Order: sequence, then structure tokens, then C-alpha cells
Amino acid sequence: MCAPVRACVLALLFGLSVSRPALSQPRSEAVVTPPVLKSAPSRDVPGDIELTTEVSVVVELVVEKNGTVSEAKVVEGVSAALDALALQRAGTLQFAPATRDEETVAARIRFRMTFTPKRTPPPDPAATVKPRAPVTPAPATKSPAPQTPPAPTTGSDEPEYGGEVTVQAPPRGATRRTLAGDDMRRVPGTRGDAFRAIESLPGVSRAPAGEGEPLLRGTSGNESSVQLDGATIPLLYHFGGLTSVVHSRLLERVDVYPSNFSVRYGRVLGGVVDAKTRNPRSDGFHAVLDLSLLDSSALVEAPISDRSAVALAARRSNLDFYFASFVPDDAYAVIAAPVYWDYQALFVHALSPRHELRVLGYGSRDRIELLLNEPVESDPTLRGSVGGALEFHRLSLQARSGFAGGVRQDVSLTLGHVRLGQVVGESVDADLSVLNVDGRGEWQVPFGRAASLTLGFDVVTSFSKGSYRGSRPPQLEGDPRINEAEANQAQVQLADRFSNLSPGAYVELPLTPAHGVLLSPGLRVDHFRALKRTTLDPRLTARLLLFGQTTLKGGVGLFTQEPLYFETLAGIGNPDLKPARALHQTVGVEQGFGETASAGIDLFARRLFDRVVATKNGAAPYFENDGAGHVLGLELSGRLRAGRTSGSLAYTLSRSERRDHDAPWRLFDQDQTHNLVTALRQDLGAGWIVGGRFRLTSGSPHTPVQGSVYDAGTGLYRPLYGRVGSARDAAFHQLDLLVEKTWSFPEWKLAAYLDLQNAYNRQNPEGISYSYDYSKSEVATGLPIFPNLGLRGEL
Amino acid sequence: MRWTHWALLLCVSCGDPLHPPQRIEKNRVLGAQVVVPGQEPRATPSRGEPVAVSFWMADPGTPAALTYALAVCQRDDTLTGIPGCSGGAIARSSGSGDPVLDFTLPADLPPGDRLLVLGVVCANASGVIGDVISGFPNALGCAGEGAQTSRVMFDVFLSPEHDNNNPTLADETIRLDSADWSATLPTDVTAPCAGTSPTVGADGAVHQIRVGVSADDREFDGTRSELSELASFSTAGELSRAFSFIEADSDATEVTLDWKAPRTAPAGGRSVRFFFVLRDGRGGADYSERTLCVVP
Repeated sequence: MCAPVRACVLALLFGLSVSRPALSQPRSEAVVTPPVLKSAPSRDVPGDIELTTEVSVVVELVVEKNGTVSEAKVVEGVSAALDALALQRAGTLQFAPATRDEETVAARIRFRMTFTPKRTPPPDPAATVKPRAPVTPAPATKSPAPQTPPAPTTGSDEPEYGGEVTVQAPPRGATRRTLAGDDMRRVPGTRGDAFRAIESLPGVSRAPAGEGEPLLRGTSGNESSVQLDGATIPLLYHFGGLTSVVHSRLLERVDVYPSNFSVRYGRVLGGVVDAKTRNPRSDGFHAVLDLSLLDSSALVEAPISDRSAVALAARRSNLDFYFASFVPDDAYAVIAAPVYWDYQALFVHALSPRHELRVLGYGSRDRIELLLNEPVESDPTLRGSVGGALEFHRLSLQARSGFAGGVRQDVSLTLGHVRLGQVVGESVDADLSVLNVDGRGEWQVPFGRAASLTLGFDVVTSFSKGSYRGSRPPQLEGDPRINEAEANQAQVQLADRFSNLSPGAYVELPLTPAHGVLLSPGLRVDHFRALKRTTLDPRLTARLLLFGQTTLKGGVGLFTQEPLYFETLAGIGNPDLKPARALHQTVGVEQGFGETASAGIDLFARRLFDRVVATKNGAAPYFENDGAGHVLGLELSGRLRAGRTSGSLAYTLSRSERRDHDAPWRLFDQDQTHNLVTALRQDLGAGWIVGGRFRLTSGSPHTPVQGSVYDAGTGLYRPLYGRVGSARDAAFHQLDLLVEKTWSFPEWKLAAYLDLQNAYNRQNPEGISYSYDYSKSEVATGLPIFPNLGLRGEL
Repeated sequence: MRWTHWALLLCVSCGDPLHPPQRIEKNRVLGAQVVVPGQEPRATPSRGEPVAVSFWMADPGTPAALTYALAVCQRDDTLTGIPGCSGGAIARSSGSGDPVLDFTLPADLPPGDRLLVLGVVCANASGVIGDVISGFPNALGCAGEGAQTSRVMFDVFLSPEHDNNNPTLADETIRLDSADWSATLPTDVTAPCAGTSPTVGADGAVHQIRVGVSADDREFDGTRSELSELASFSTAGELSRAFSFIEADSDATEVTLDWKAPRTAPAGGRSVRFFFVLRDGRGGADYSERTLCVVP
């Protein structure tokens, strides 16, 4: 590769890979044992507090050497009344004190104070009772002491900490993998990004550089949904993978359903990533400032009344300060260096102990503009100005309520606007504006001890207007011609307004016919107004507690996804398309080993039919429902949390194939036969944490070029392809290391970190570049070794 | 366009990583032109008219022995990838030398706005393998050890659906370092050239080439003028770019590019050939060639 190309590739990948490390907590420096609760506090509430559902207040405690609690403050509150009650009861708790090197010491811990209604309603049949460990705070040494122990990188259905017994709702799908709390921000190589951390879970493929959308169990990023508080996020990552658009410290948890998800979710064939924001802290003003090479971010949160709290977060990239220094001078002029920003604003108000109002606003903008000094030799239509901006804003109103009889209600309305503008030389000029109005409502009604009913609806509407001039939109997967020169592709021009309305409704009937048995049949109906089609998706998941900590699980169901919007636009698409369908099947076993380890195995299959594919020659009607697909796979997962050591192992073996029309079966563009991710983190004490993550993944399939045809009209060569997906890149492997040191002061903490990505400088393949006539080629490589230093202050 | 493409865009401007297209290192097809004999410079024939299609070839040294096989047919409606024929051949041509295809457009040609010329040009080959229409592109090739295969395609736009003239480059001024650069060509490009004009030293110096593009060549369709795209090639040295443009909304009348001389040359000098192909983006094209001598 010539130096300029290498330079710009590295500059790009540098940007893609600059990391923000995970948050740090003070760590112990000696062998310690945490405080142990001697007796559980009462879970009852006084008569003046109405409570119909179980709630929890998280408090931070200082446990003195004599086992008494000397300080308590609310970390995650529910309401003023319950927060006060939690603090009151916290002061009465008695612990066996923490020890360090066999000496009793004071410790600061987090503790979840759970309250249940005075008349405890019958257990939610949609829940399973899981024995929980006594409070398991972190090892403690000097004050301020650690909080939670290091967490595994593999998610778990288990919360980080809790009371003695908790009624824990089961996964809303056959397999749910959860990242929560600091776990999701402490994975080496993810820049502290909770959404990037999910790539360390089984069933989640490594996304190629620049395509950061989650790839779940052998499906495309656009076949899965990423949601924030129940509404789809229009854009998950800045610039296709740099960092996610939501501040990870504002998240409570990220649930990943790689397939066989609940009827609550619809309109996708792949899986669901469901992120939840946490409530702002109600125990005073708190702030976090994070400065890194890639971007700078700040988060502030505070109560604004005894029932209300607010959190504000913002981030801006730092790329524009040095971007020009990394690009070749003779390649292009930087008119507007890459800049991105995002923001989130969350207001939570407790109307009563049973009713909560949440208002969440968030948005993001990416922009870049370059001026190419010379036409691109492989595609001279790429010349002059190249730039674009992608921006969205969302406002979500959410109301969560509990009613008599254990009935729960969760409704939300989300308003949004997306604006996209792109100019790519003479070849592409696009402008698109979309208004979204999305709504969701769900009601859970328990019926006795063995059944409950969940009813819900969701509506997705969009009103779009825009113009487009450029190449005819191709089939996005399985067609290597998508990467050909714009000059060699048919051009289209259109300007239009269009709207879409997709209402859906669902019912789920979780049944507990016997102890340890949970069956969740559900039915979802979707209507796609643009397609004039209505679909029914029956689904069933089951969980069977075999014995001890062994659970057998499984699921089967139908899933539906409407075509991409342009695939149904008259002129460039086919308005008569119907939704694509999929049949998911999963069976697996979860095995716990006390509180220190767990393991799991999942077998999954997915059959796709009525896939939307381009017509054989690309001509009208341009797209047809004439594709099929299947995915088969095996997932192994394990996690360990022992003392100061935590680790995880995730391995996925899978094969994902597609067939277009009557062509032979071929590999899915992002098929990954083997995907091994293992991570280990060690608390060394004295505020030091070290960690590492190793990934070994099969290379991506590609289509070999076997020759070319010279187009004398354009002066460019057109490649002659071999069988689609019949070759594969070399394997990807990479080691990321994290070293972090935290200094704790009475009122604040300061952390310094080094996140070393690609520690042994593996030249991982990210694609193939060809000579002008396709007679020669070479492998384009990805991120080189990159040490990222940063600082973070926390108040 | 996905953000992935932004990454590509940031990189593609850095140049071809393997070897630049503006360097002629082997026998190559550089372009093609369609004319209506007797009605030059019209580039869009009508039904019933004679048509002449010629391909421009280039070699780094002594011209290779060429054989070719061409055919013209009605283009199918393929919108992605390499197109094909919707029927049989309207005309065929094969032989040796620079490839040409002369035919008369059938008066009863079915509706359609363009024809497709396709075929193969073989250098130093013993013959052509495969049928042009049914074998294109994968089963069409050249026979013989060391044969060099160039599969080609070319759209012929038809009148009255399209109306276009070829631009003219041959009569335009081409200047080297501000001096006129004549089109006189040596008979043997491999022979010593010292003493011929123009001459430059083998010192790696940068020389400026200016190619005039007359405003008369840029047809006006009522809203805007045609763009002009100049493709430039050389057999030695380094041209600053392969493609130069005069945009549709530009008043420019010439293209300027740099050429960096090689640093070595034989004692008797070395001829360097330059090829220029001018396209209007609507099927019209013209071609010109220059030579200079690089001396130590």
C-alpha cells in the first residue's frame, strides 16, 4: 500500500479506535473481606406509603469497625418518602465488619434496600424466584472503600448486587444477556462504551471497521433494533463506530436478545439491544468530567426537589483539533474536520410512590466536509466537495405506574427528527428530513400465582421528505457491486414526500404451571401501511429450572421485518414488496456455580424467507421477495468473579448463508465461523486495575475478482467477480490491555488510564484494494497498536 | 450512503495503492469513439445510418501485434454490473490491427436508446477464444502463451433519443512548459531520440502540460454546458493525475497538469509518449497523442 493510502487508513482507523476507558473505582491494596449483613432489614412500608409493586432504593453505606452504619446516602432513589425510609432503616443495619489482612476496617459499600407492598401480591407468574446472595459489597480497605467487585465482561441476568431474596423477572426472550453498571464500562478496548461492550458477548459478531451496528447471530446490523427506553435509536454510533451516541454512565443496563425475543419487540428479523437509562441520583450534586483524545464529555446530576431529579450529559469530539495533521496534504483540503456531538437530558419526577414521570431528550450530530484536491483515480465522479451531516433529536415522555392488584403500566411517546445531507462530488447529492412519532404502551396484569397477562402496543410513524441524486440504491448485502465506482452505476434522481405508519400490538401470557417452570406464549400482530400488509408472529419461550442452578431454556417463533424504506419507493424500488419473515429456534442450558461462576450453552437456528433481494439484472421492479437464508450456531459462555479477579469467555460457532433467487447458497457477508472473546480483569489494590481482552475471529467473506472489462465510455474498468462470498479474509485477532489508577479524595476522585489497543500490533485485514484494472490487489489492514491515555474526574 | 463509505472516501483520494492508471506499462485500450461517417462530429447515429466505432490503443514501447473480435447488439436493461445483449449481434468485426467496427444501423431497429459494443482485444495472441455475444465476458479471451487480454464494452447512444457531437481534441492547443507541442510522432518510439524536439532532461524536474478545450466543444443543452473530462497517460515519468475536469458550470478553457520527468535515460535519449482522451460524459470523445525526448 502506498504511503498516502496507509496514512489515511491509519488516520481513519485511529479515529475509529481511540478509546475512552472504563470508569474506575477505588480498589483495595490488600486481602480483604467485605462486611456481611447479620440480619435482613424489613421490606414492609408504613401505612402512609402506598406501594403495589416491589421497588428498591440503592444506598451507599459506611460500615464502621463495629459493624454499625455511620453514614448513609441514597445513590439511586425512588421517591422522597422511600428514600427517607431507606436511609432510616440503613442506620439500623448490623454487619459483621470488613477486614483487611485479618484486621477489622471501616468500609464503604452499596446496598440495595428493597421494599414490597404491605399486602404482598401473589408472585408474578412471569417471574422466577431466584435465590440471591446476601449483600455482596466489594472488598473494602481504607476509606473510601470499594464498591462492587470487578465485574465480568460477559453479561448476566444477575444484577450487580441485591437483597437477600429478589423476585427477578425472567428474560423477555429465550436468551437475554445483560451488561449493567460498571461492567459495561470496564471492558478493555471499548473506550468505556456500553454499546461497544456487547461485542464481547456470545452471539455478537465483530463488526468490521466503520460498521459498528450490532451483528446478532448471523444477521445484518439493519436487521436488529437498538432501543433506548423503548424507542429505536436512529443512529447508534458516531461516524459508523467511533463511539455510541448515549453517555454510558447514564445507562442502567443494556439487555441483548440475540434472537427469540419477546413479542414486545417487533419489526426486525435479527435481535434486539435494549438499553435503559437510570434515574438521576437524588442524594446531591454529582459530576463526571472525562477528557480523552477522541472526545470530551461531562455528566451532571442532582435532585431539584424532593420528588424530582435531573441529569444532563454532553459530549463533543476532539478530532477536529488534530485531524488535519493526520491526513495527507496532497489528498484533500479539510473544509470541516469530523465533528460529532451528542447530548442527553433526563428529568424524573415521582408523582407518587406508584407513579413516575420521565422526560428524556437526546440527540446527536456528525459532520464532515472535505475538498478533494484531485479526482479519485478509481472513480473520477468523486471529486470536489465531499461532505455530509447526520443529525437527530428525540424527546421521549414516559410514564410508569403501578395499580392495585399488581397491575403495571408503562407508556411512552417519542417525538423525533432526523436530518441527513450528503454531497459526494458529482455522484451523490442527498437531502432527507424525517419526522418520527413513536408510541408504546404496555400493561401487565397478574392473575393468581400461575399466570399473568401482558398487553401492549407500539406505533412507529414517519413523515419524510427529501431529494436524492446518485447511483441506484443496490442490494445492501450479498452484492459486491455495491463497492464499484459510481461512474459505472446507473444514476437516478428523485424528490418526494412519503409517510409510513406501522402499528403493532401484542399479548403475552406467562404461565407457571409448576415450580420452576415458565412458559411464555405470545402473539404479535403488525400492520405495515405502506405495504398494505398485516402479519402475525406467534412466539413461545420456556424456562425450566431443572435443579439447583441449572436452567433449561428454549424458544421458537416467527419474526417480521418490513423492507428498507428505499426498497419500496416507486422509481427505485418495488411498492408491492411484502415483509421478510424469519423463524427462530433456540435451546440452551444455564448453569450457575455458586456466586463466583456461571456457564451457558446455546444452540440456535434461524431460517429466513421472503428476503428482499435486487432483481437479477437490477432492472424494474428493482427488488423482489425472492431471497432465503439460514443461520445455525452454537454459543458457549462462561464468567468468573472471584475476589478481585473477574473474567469472561464467549465463543460462538456459526454459519450464516443466504440465497438470492435461484442462485447457489452463499455465505452471508458478515458470516463469522469462529468468534472467541475472552477478558480478564484484576484488582491489584491501591486503586490499580489491570485488564485485557483477546479476540480471535474468522475473517469476513469476500468475493474474489477474477478479471475486468474496460468500459471505453467511462474510461474505467469494471470487475468480473467470482462466486459471491467464496473467499475469506485472514483471521482477525487482537489483544487490548487496560491499566487504570484511581486516586480517591474526600470529595472527589481522579483516574488516569492507559488503554492499549492491538497490543502486539497485529495487521488485521479489513478489506482488499485493487489496482485500476483489477490485475493486482493487496490487503488493507486495520488499526495498528494505539496507546490511549486519559484522565477522568468524578465528583 | 453508510458511514463506511465516508471512510472509503477519505482514503480513495490518496491514489491508487498499487500502480497509477496514468502510467502506460502494457498494451491498453484508452477509449473509443463513434462517428457517423460524412456527418462528423456527430456521435449519435440514427436508424439507417452508417456507424464507425474505433478504439484507441496505447503501448509503452513498440506497438504490440493486435487481434480483436467485436460485436454490436441492443443493450439489455441491466442496471447493475456488466450489461449484456438483449438479442443477437447487429454486426460483428474481427481482424488484426487497431480494433474497428463499421456497420449500418438497421432502419427497423426495435425501440431503445443505445447499443452495446463489446468484444476483446488481444495483444501478442494467436487468436480469439469464444463467441463475442454468448461468451462475453467470462468465456471470451485470447489464445497463445503470453497473450494479453483486454475485454471491452462501449455504449453507442442513438438519435433521436440522444443528440450529441464528439468534442475535438486533435485541433486544440497542447503546450509543454508554455511552448507549443506539436503532434509529430517518431516512427520508432524505441529508437534513440536525442536531437528531436521537444527535449527535456532526465532530472526529475516537473513540467507543466496545458491542454486547451474549446468552448465550442462543450455543447449547451439549454441549461448548462457539457463537462469535459480529460484522461491523460504517459509511458514514463509521473503525471500528476489521471483525470482532469472542466465542470459544466466552469468558464475554464484549458486543463493544466504536471509531469515529473524520469531521472534516468539512455545516452541516446528516450521517447516518452503521452496520450490524451477527451470525453464529454454523454458518449462523445476524441483523442490525441504527443511525444517528447528525455535525455541524460
